[in-house]
Amino acid sequence: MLSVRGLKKTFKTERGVIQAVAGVSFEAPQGQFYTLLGPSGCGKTTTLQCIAGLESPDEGEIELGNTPVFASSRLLDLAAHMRDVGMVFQSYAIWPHMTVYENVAYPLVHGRRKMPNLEVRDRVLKALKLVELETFANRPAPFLSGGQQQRVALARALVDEPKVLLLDEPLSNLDAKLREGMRFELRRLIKRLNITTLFVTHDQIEALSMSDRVAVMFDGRIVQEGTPRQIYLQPENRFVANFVGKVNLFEARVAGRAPGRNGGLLSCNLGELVCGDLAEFGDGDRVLAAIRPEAIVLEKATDSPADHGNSLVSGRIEACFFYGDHIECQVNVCDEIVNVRSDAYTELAIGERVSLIMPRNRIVLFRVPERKDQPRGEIRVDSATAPRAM
Amino acid sequence: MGQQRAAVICDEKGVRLLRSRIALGEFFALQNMISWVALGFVLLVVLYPLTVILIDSFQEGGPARVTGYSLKAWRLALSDRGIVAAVWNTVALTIARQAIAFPVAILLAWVLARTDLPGARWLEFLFWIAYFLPTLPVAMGWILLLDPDHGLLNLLAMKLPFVKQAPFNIYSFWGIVWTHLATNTIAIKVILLTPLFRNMDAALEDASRVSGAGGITTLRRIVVPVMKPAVLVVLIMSIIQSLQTFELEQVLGFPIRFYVFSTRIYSLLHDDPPMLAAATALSTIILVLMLPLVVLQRRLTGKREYAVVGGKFRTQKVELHRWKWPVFLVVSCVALTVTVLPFSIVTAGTFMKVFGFFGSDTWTLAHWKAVIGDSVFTSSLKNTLLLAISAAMGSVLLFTLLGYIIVRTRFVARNILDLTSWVPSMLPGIILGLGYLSLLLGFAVLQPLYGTMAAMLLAVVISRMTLGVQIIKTNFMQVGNELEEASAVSGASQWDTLRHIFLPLVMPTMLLVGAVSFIAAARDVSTVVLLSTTGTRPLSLLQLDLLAQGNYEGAAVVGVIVVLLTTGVALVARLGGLRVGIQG
Repeated sequence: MLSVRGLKKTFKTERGVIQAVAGVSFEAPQGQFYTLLGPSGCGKTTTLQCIAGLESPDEGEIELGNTPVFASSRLLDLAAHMRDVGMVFQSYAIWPHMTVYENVAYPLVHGRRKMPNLEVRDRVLKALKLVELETFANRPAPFLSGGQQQRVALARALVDEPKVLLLDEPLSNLDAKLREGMRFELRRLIKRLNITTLFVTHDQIEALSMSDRVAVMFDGRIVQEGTPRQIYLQPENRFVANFVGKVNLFEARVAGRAPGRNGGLLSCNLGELVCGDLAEFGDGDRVLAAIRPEAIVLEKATDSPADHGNSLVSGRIEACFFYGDHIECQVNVCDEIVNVRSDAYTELAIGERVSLIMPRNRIVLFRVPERKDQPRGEIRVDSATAPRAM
Repeated sequence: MGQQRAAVICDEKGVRLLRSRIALGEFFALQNMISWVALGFVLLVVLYPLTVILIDSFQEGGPARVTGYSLKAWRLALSDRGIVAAVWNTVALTIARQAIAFPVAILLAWVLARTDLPGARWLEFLFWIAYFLPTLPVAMGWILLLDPDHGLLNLLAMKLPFVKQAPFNIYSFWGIVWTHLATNTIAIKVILLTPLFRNMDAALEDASRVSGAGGITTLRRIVVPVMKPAVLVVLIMSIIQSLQTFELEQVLGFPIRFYVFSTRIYSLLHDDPPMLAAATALSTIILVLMLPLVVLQRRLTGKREYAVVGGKFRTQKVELHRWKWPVFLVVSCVALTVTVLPFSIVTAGTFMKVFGFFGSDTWTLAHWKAVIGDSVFTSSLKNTLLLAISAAMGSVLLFTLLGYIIVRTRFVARNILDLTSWVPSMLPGIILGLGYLSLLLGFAVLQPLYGTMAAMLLAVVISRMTLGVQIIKTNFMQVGNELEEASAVSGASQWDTLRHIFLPLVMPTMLLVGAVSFIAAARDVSTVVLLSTTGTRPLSLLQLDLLAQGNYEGAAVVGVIVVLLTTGVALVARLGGLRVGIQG
């Protein structure tokens, strides 16, 4: 298992003091696949390096499998080579002057516990078998493809059966098709070994499809933590909604109650929308209404009124993009552009009038950020609110 | 990181953890201490000689018997016509050489890099050879061709009916200019500019051609302006190098009393009594004159404007069509003239009884036997080998240490270290030698070192510091932090990481630096000429002395041996897998 509490790290650079990690805490029980997801500069890689021991945090506590390895209050800072971790670097860091065998054997030959040759051979071949590279043992490292290097790096990280496996964007240097295949392979392997894994990435597809739990990071902090489903369907703030997937955001005002548990009416430029859960907002409050493009149901123009208590608006298609497995349209509704996703088999034409059904339970509400302290174009994190049930 | 406060550890593994942390702290403290010592050493050996030169210029009475301080030396330096003429000659020579060499080199570089000239790689390699050949032996080839009384070309020309007088005289201003051009000046520029031209994004040229501009217009309006910053840097570097030359002017200029500042310094010190103060004053003047160039170069390289490497550059070359073979001929002639021609001449000359005389009885081994049999030669050879090997070892150790500190540690003063390591490339060898000489003579405790190899060794190592540290730094940066981090995470201690990961990966570069330092030390003249005595005289200086005595044949033999020695080492290094960046 992996436990991080109150991690803080600042860097002094020519451009001033940068607070890379500003108080990060999380816990991953044994065998869990835990992901840190965020844009570049959010502090996820620095957090990983602090856990590995390659960077020394200013404050905080880190425990690897019940062994404390860093505790600022007790002046404890275990060196990297004494921590029981395995790590795969973004560039794989395969040593070019050694063969595959020597690369994978290195932790057993020069690492924490030195083993007899026979046992080393045994373990190395076992590790190579895990990543399906048994026949490559004697190949010199420079003669490996990118995908093969990545698997050697993985074998090397796992050969000494570490307590925690650290992965620093291991898939970002692979081409698209390879990446897809490796996602499943990696998760399957890790689950089979039941090893606690910390995965760092900026790619939301990787994060959502591979992880047990995801922590979205921004500006050195965790802004939301949960299962992939929670992160995607129940974003707690505007940043998470925008960063993970696409989202339509409309300014609206609460205009009354609607039937249902906490339902409400929202009045906005699109018209009147029914929202399934007003959360903590009340009458007259200004809010940001968010709904994902794929959550909206697109239908050819119809005259039938809204049913099931869901709102219906109509508009004209302004642009259409064919993505192969789906179509994305920009629909002009009362001079606001709504991004809608539709299946690829529907025939849609530019200029066509369509109806958009907004299911009430797929609308999430956020507080409107104060105008004055939000510079244009910058994504501001709203303080996390309690997750809204859907 | 060096905290040693007692920690409250309430874990049964506590003792082990505490020990590991303290060991870590100690290691960093040790690393820091080494860094400070290295910084102190480098500041001392680079900046102190400069300071000493400045101080000495104000001293009266000679270095060991300072009688007082005055501006006497300065007044002498500024008023003495010989000294003023020397400064003027230096500038004139530099301007003449650069004005001719520069356009020629640009054209050559462009042809080699951006056209489909056949054998371009080999021609470029020839220019690399020209750069590596020691100057004196090659110059001797030219002397044998252009000497006013015995030069082969003169003798041949005079056979022509309308030629009454020897047309070529190498002992003249233009003779010196020609010899420079035909040895180093053009070659250096070509090998620096060709990779620059090659790396320029071909798409820029293509865009120009698609817009309708022809070849020459494209060259003028696109290629030259885009390359301007980088080319400017090369020009400034060349000018600075030109200002520092010594050997050729000593051999060709001294007989006609033509001095440049470096040879003037040399003659001032060989005067009776030695005019150390005047020499140091002259040195300071030159350094001050060079300062704006140095500052300009630093600013240009710092701004990184010259990075014109395009992401994907296509190999689409300009086609020469019917110009192909004429251009090939011209370029080959130039390449051979600066390499093969003079060297074959001088080698042939060592086997001839009387040079240029093709009779029945031309060839002889007598000169070779005379030189090799001489004990002076054997001791000089020993000195050269000793100096070169120690320089190679010392350079590798020092530059690797400095490179590591600058690139791999968080040492607070590493920028100062970086800057200081760059200074020696700006110093003319003769001034560096003068600085160490003043240093040795001025301190009673150091005086016994005068006349030993130690000072020569130090001077030679320091003179090559800039290039050596640069090579090491580049390599360390390429090796990348992650390879070492991966080793740490795999459980290897700092020592194991160093031994199994770091050293094997940097070893080829260290060998390269060793080879380069060996070759530089074996052929160096200007840095050691002031520090060497009869007992410590290396082969490079033996050449000078033999030439001064008029023993041209002996000097030629020694020169050929120096070339064989340096080429031999270069070949061995090359065979051992070292590549000097021809690929650009």
